[in-house]
Amino acid sequence: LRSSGDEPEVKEPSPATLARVIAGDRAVQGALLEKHYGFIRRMLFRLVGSSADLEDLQQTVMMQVLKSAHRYKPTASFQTWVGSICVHVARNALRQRANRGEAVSSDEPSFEAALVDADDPHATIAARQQLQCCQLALSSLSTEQRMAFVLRVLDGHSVDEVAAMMGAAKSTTRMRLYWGRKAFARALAAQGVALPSSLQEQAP
Amino acid sequence: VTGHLAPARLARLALEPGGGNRHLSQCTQCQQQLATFRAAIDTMKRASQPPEEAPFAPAKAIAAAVSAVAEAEGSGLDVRAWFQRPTAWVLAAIPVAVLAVAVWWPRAMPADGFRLISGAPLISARSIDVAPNGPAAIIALSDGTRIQGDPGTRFEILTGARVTLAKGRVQLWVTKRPSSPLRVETAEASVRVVGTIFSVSRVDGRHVTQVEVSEGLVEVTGRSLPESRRLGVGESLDVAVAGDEPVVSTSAPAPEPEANQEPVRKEPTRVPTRKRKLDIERVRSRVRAGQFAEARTLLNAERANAQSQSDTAELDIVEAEMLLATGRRDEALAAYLTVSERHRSLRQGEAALFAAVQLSLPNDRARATELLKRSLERYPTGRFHQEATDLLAALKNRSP
Repeated sequence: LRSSGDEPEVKEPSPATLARVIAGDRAVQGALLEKHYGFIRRMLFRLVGSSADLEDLQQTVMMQVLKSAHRYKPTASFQTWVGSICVHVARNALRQRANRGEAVSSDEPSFEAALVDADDPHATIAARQQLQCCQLALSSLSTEQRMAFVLRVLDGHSVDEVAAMMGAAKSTTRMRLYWGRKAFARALAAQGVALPSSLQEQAP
Repeated sequence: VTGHLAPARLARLALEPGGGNRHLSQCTQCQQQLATFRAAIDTMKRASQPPEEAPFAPAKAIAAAVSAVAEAEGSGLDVRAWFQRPTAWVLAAIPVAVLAVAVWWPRAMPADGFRLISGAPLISARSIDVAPNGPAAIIALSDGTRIQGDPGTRFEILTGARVTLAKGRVQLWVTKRPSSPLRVETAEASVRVVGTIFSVSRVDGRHVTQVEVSEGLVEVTGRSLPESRRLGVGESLDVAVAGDEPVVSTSAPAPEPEANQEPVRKEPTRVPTRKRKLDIERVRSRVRAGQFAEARTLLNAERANAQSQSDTAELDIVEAEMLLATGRRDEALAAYLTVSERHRSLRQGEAALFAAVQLSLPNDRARATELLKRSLERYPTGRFHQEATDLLAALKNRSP
């Protein structure tokens, strides 16, 4: 399920590179961030679900990576460690957004670009409706369930990686995924995604 | 094929890539629905790409992040990084330790200027131990307060006008200082005092503290006391802890504590004795005239203004007379007996006992005899002595 096409393989930074990053070598710091820039951006966008404040969140993550580089321990890959920072920043952003009572809009410009089918306008409309249903289903999940779901289903990370990024035990992560999937499926079914009327009547 | 899979089940199957199902392989409608769910999830995956950026945007963002970190590091102290060094904790602990000692030192050190007047106690840096078989020790504080420790007593004199008693008995002659009243503390109680003579004793092992006041007024607080108690002259209070139940006993009723009031006795305004007697007689005249409501009002007012035990006793007798006048004979008899017991040393007590005799005579001769004997025994030279003797003789002659 890993969306391998999205994420190019990133080479692990050597200890010498990390030492120079910690020492404050700006050129090496820039090169390191450049390697992980796309990953950070994609991951934040998927976790948060909108492009609002994306630049600010990205900047926060990049600064945190440089500041906390001395704390990195090679028990997991460097990318997973960067992912854990993304999860932390995204979690704070989602909580702040929930406190403000904001919802994710389906009018994202990137959504339009992904959904528009020049040959078939009906397909575009259907896709937009499907996306709206999926977003509503996603918003019914708790923050932790949503993040685990996004990291596993959309980002395609393994359960071990999701657990490491979220700073949770594997069993906890499995439970979050299980309940997250269940809640998402129930919410999606409740939306009635293009269900034939005959099936809707027979469904228990 | 009968029936169809639930939509929620189908949605879950859509999330699992290899999710096979026997029903699905046979039911075309469910297959279509599953395909719809898979299409929706694929759409979501497709749409989960961030918006495109301008060509130089990533480089600009990275450069901004790198310089922001460099500026933050050069600008000042990174507190989090600083506290990760072990020496930082040692450096941070030093002012905390200095502050702790500064707070503890004045409390722990003995008061300056105390001297031994008599006795030969063992005086260490903080505590004073009086030998069990030796003489009592008298210590004088710089303000003139004297503390006498009985043999076998152990106590400490601390600054902040505090004396802690571990065991034994201390008697104190306290110099008045309202701004910082002396406090004597034991495990069970704390006694606060402005200027008075009192003693505090504690038996080691029994966990009982006894407070006796010889002069003035003290305020006692303790874990077993629900609220602070004030003790006056001649009063004593035992504060003990027996399991969870507090045991408090007092030799005389303590005055009611008043909020935010210094423990100074309030002297009521004195009213001449002649006027008080006239006031009480006015109540009595209302009773005789049958004006009971007015008599009750006046009686309550007089009770509030009562200035002596004699006044209270006289008013109690008037109340008994009022009960008798209203036909409540038994209650009146009980009231007279109460007065006679409560004020037995006063002439009102003697009069009340004789009134009880007269009330008992018609109906209960045995009781009247018993009360007459009590009266003669208690007041052998009393003003009702002759009358009581004659009545007792008459009762004996009449008895079968």
